Amino acid sequence: MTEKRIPQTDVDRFLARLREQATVYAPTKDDAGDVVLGELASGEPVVLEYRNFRLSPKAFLLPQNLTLLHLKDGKAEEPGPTDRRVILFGVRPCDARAILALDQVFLEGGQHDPYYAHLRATSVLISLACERPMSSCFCTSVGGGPGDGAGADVLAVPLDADLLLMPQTPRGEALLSSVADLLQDASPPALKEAQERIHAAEELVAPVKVEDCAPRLRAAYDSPLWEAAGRKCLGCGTCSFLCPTCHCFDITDEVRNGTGRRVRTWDCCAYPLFTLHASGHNPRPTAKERWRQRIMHKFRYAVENCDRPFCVGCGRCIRYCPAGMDLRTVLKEVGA
Amino acid sequence: MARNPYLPYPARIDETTVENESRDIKTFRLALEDPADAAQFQYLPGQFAELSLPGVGEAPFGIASSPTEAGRLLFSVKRTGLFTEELHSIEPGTRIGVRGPMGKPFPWDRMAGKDLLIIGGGFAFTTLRSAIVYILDPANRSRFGSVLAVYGARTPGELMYRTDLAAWQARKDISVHLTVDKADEGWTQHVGVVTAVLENLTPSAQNTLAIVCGPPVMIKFTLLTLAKLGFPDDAIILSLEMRMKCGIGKCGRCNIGSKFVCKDGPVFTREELKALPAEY
Repeated sequence: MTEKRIPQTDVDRFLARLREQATVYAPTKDDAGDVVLGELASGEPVVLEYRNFRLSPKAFLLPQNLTLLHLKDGKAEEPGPTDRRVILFGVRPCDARAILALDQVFLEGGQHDPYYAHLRATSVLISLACERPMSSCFCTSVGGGPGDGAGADVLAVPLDADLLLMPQTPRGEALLSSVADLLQDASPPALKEAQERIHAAEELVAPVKVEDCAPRLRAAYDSPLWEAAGRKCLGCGTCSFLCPTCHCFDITDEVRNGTGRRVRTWDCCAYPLFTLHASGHNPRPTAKERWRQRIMHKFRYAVENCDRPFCVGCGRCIRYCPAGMDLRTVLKEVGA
Repeated sequence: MARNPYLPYPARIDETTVENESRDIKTFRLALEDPADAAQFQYLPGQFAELSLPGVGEAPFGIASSPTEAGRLLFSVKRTGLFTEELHSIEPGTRIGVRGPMGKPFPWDRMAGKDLLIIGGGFAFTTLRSAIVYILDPANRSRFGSVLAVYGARTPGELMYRTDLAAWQARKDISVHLTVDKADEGWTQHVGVVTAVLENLTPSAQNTLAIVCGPPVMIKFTLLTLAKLGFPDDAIILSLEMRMKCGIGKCGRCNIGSKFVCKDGPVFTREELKALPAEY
């Protein structure tokens, strides 16, 4: 695959061209001044200087509310086909990598999920390498990195004046071909500069001890640390909702006067209702068991089932936890 | 194009039967409306399905019929929560949805050639009914050795499937022991917990698989008794209940350890369960 480059001053033009073939989401400032992955409706300028979005882009593949079925007079019907075509520009490499975990749940191993499959097939991802990782980042400890292309169709790397565009999939290659007239071939020095920048960013990421966490967690199931963590956890679900790999969902019916929908919504293992039986029995009755489940699922069960932790080190659960919970502490303490 | 796994098969409730004196367990006989769907719905005893009431939601239930009972798809449901409350108040003829069959059945390949000890308690007897009907079918009976079943309930009026029980007790190719915690007038069978009956019968563990479904307290003591009788952990087959939504291993709520009860279970051996956290 051929690497391309485009002057950073031409990025708006590049995205305008992409808008001719798809709905484009790119880093823009919202009314509050936060950089969000927003729809480029017209020619608003994109922002290339940002750390990461507060909300992970998983919502593009796993919407917070998704209509599974239309319900009318006791009958259930599938929603019709759509002509959706979406390009996401500026996704961070951690969030792109998270999609590989979602793929394993929804596309591989057992039943194929047609809703996820459709949204996945109609989304093209251009990720943007990180130059300034945050203090809460630990992507390099969970298989990723500031210049990781996994999960993306194109990896973009900001250079001094240009943006290097490295296709990662045939779909990414095709996307770049469609706007070839705007792009130039990247020279070996440009590739070298990209490598140096990525390496410099990697050096800024603090390591966390994750690699042997599955056996350590297996041994620490009855550790007193879960009790302590459970006392702190509010059970608010912020960690799960912001997590790019958390995918657990609820299914409920919304019907009024015989008409409505069956809807799939984000759910969270920190909620007591998540496992509450109709009989009143709850297999995970307190925050202790529920918080342990979240860590165990991500760093042990997922490793055992999917050969990867369901964590990409984006650090959102650390930054935004209202109780200051930090899974890095648990991973360090557990079985140490 | 594979069928959308979230889309229920349209079905109709043809018949409802009250199973117990408390009138809180009903058996629903369903018919899938499209013969093509009915042909798709191939199951084995031990599997479950999601029943779907548009506007109310869905809930998982073990299949109480056997695939050998052509055209009869049965679910026995205890009225316990929002969904079952609604289900219990609907009339025959009502449309309903079914998704499934789901999960792994009892290990029929392993069970072939073995003596079988079937132990059930309360309303968890549903998939055991399915299993017994399946085993006793003329096409299947010779594949298994002796069959001993012990079924307990609080009172005689709480025993489900009384017509089936009477028919089985009249047969020579199965031994069915019924027991109740509290007898009433006219009760001539066992009185006491299932473990007491088991300890009197002392079934041999030799070449035998035990299948146990019941309330947690019954399971707990039955496992102790089975261990005393010499049943190894991999010869004891149990079925788990967990709250479920999708039924296909995606939604995450029936996750226990590295297993999902909906797709890796609900049937597990005691040996398999010992490897999992006791979060069930």
